[in-house]
Amino acid sequence: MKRTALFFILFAVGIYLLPLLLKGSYWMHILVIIGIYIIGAIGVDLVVGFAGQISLCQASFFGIGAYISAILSNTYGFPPVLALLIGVVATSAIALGLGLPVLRLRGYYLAIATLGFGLIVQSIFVTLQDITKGPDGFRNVVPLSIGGYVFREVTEYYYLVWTISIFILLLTRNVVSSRVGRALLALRGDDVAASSVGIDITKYKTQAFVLSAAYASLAGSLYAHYNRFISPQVADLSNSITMIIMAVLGGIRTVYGVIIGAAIMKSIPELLESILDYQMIITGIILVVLLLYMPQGLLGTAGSIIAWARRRRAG
Amino acid sequence: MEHSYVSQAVQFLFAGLSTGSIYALVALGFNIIYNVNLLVNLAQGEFVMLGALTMISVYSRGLPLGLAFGVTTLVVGVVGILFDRLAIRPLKRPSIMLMILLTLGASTFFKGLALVAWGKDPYTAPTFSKTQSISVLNATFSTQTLWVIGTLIVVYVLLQLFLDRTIVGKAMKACSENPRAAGLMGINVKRYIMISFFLSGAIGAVGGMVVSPISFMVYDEGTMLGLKGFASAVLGGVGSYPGAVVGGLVLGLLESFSTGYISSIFKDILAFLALLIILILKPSGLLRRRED
Repeated sequence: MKRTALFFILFAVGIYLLPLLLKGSYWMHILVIIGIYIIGAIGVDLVVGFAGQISLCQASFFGIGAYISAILSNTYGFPPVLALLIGVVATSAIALGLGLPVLRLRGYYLAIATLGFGLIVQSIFVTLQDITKGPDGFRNVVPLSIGGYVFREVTEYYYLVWTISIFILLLTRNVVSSRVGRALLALRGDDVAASSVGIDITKYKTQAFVLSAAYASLAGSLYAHYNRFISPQVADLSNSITMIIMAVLGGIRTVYGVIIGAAIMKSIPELLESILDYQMIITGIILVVLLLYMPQGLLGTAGSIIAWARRRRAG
Repeated sequence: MEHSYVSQAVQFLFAGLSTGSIYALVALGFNIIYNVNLLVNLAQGEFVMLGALTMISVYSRGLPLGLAFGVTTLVVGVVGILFDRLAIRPLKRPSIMLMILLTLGASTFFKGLALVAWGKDPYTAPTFSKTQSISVLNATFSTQTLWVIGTLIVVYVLLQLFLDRTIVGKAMKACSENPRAAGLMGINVKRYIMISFFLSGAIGAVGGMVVSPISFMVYDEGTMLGLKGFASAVLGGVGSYPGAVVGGLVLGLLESFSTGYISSIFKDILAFLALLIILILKPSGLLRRRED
């Protein structure tokens, strides 16, 4: 446990020093995007990993946050930070309204229900052209500002986004090692047994779902203000899947694993830019091979190897 | 006035039945694999896309329609077998989450493959009959619609006959009732899983081929079809073959009538809203009694 904390501090220091090396490079932009997606993907780890509920609508909450931010700050002149906070509250409320009836479903029934919700949300973004500007997307979203200070440079967003994602990582680490985390793990293992020992499974499932949606909304708002352009594509199922892959790839239930997952998933398209047509084939193969041979993810597999080596040394 | 009202309704009815038939075919293929292997195959829609695009390619090289149809069915069936051997069988500890992600990975791979092979252009095939369209009660629709609906009926009847009357079909049923017991009785369960993948791929391909003259096919067109097929299977009750047909047709009709009478932009919203409501009220599906 202590070692993890040490690694995390080193990682955080590294993150804050990195701009010195990469200043002005395109990778700064990729790193901002990675930081944003980490926030969304931790939510997936919470719901899918810890609570064991298959949710396929993380991108919808991401999209709802992004659109609320864009609409309130552009159309109605709200300060961006206020728009972002309203987005988080509204998205949490929507997640609560959806979660209460839907989280009673299990397995693929829950998967298909969340998938259906995701498609509905995306159609709404496409349909309500007067408000969302329709399929072409929302352009020139107001940049983020706090007080009178306007965030313009990539480096400024870099520090902001990574400070938030490090905070969210630590917060989630605390949540999952608390009573709530233990309750989630118990209901993931066997919900009937968990409820028979007095764990209010509906309450904990819903809490995890709402918190995860709040994360996604925050990430979506940051994305909207940073990227300054959003389209209904942000709420696409493929984006939900990307966030799930991030959580699984790094190592589900490891929290910190999403850092690796997000870094890989957002770097692949950049590295494969010259062979764009083959990108889907390669992503598909990577996903299948990883799931088959490393279902615990990279961090999980590394953990198992270390544990195995220790056992050997101990004899 | 009333006359046009009727013709409009007939138009929507046939449009709904034909899209619904495709959803039903996808749902049948989905259930075949699910029943033998408990696998939720989200790459089912990609079989449809591969079927349509393969047939268009083979057919444009001058093969007669019937032969092109047969060749494509075989090819996509074999793709199904390869999918099982390379991506599903090596899975050691299957869980619903892993299977959903694995098949989504396979779906991405198939889309990538089709993108490289056929590019981003949409393709379409000529209608199977020489007469392209017919009129009933002043409603005009493509003859292909009848081919699509007819195909669903034929596939459904053949599938039921196969499962009830042939030894292979009965063995497959045994595997889905209780794979362990079937294995102890000397049934090679792995082989029947393989057969289920072949059948599922072949049925998907058939759906893709019959629909290709009335809808354009692109490399990523299968995903939505797959999801709607999945939704149909859930609607009808996962694993139930009559349920797959009912679920598919209900979803197709719902879409077509809501598009026609309300607005095309509500197409997906209403269909999936209905799905959500049905799931919440009756999670076991329309045709299944509650099990747990």
